[in-house]
Amino acid sequence: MTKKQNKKIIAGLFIFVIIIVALAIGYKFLKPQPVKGEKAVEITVVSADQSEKIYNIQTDAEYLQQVMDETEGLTYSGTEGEFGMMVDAVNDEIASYEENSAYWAFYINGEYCNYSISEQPVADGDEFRIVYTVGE
Amino acid sequence: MSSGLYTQLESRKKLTIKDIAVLAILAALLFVVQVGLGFLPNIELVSLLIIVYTLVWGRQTLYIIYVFAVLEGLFYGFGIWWINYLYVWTILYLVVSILIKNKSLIMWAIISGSFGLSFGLLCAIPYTVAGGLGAGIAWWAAGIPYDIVHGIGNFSVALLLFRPVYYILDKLKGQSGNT
Repeated sequence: MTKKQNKKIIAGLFIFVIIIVALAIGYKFLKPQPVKGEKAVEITVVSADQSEKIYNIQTDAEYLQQVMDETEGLTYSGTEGEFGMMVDAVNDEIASYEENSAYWAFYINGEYCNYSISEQPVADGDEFRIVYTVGE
Repeated sequence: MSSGLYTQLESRKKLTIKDIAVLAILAALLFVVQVGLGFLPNIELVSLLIIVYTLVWGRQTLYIIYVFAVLEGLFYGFGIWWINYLYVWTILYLVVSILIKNKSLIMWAIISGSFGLSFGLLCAIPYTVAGGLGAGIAWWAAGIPYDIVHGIGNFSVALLLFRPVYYILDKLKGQSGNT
């Protein structure tokens, strides 16, 4: 291997590491930050039959999962996966991707949640919708 | 004649029944490997296989990529994510085609690792088109930790498996080694 090739490899490795560090720093600044203090949050659960159940919660929780844990009458269960908890059942209603491509979709203020429930920050006035969804 | 150039010239030949059968098997291998390792968080062999396929089968790799994409769509459903599969693997193919003369194992590991790091950014394109720049950035940013794992995973997998996988597939193609 020539000196020139060695230099290229070292430069390549250096750039690779720099990109990783830059991504880690970028994530720190780009990810939504949790908000401290009391908040009023609304959670709407939309079942397979389109019926809706609305919960209004006052909470100090910073993430959605904590809010769901605190919400009386709202139950959920799921499995931990690579992207956090995959919620399988809400209020004992199971969405099975294996059976009919169904899943529980989470929305925040009308937008699809990009984060798992344990990483989804909550702010005062946020409106969450948990919707039984059948995929294509 | 270098193996890379030989591969490029060979790729222009008309496909025979045998070629089609081999390409179908290679696409099926990609699919099986993807589904089989799906439970591992962002550790995959698809990138490595596409790099090696490109080195060994040249332009015919495009057939493999698109058969693989269709199989994925049939298995998981044709959602917005599927649009990504129509171009992300082709981008990797193009990068490898440009760098086909490279003979360094570490450089292939870096290329595979960099592809893993940029995977989320590349996949954010349909979300940016559908929801605007803000939605695209939010979608990409949410997946950065997984992109980092993907990049390091790809780098490690290529470092460990590039030579054996290349050796086996090159033997299968029945030509001399390229790296």
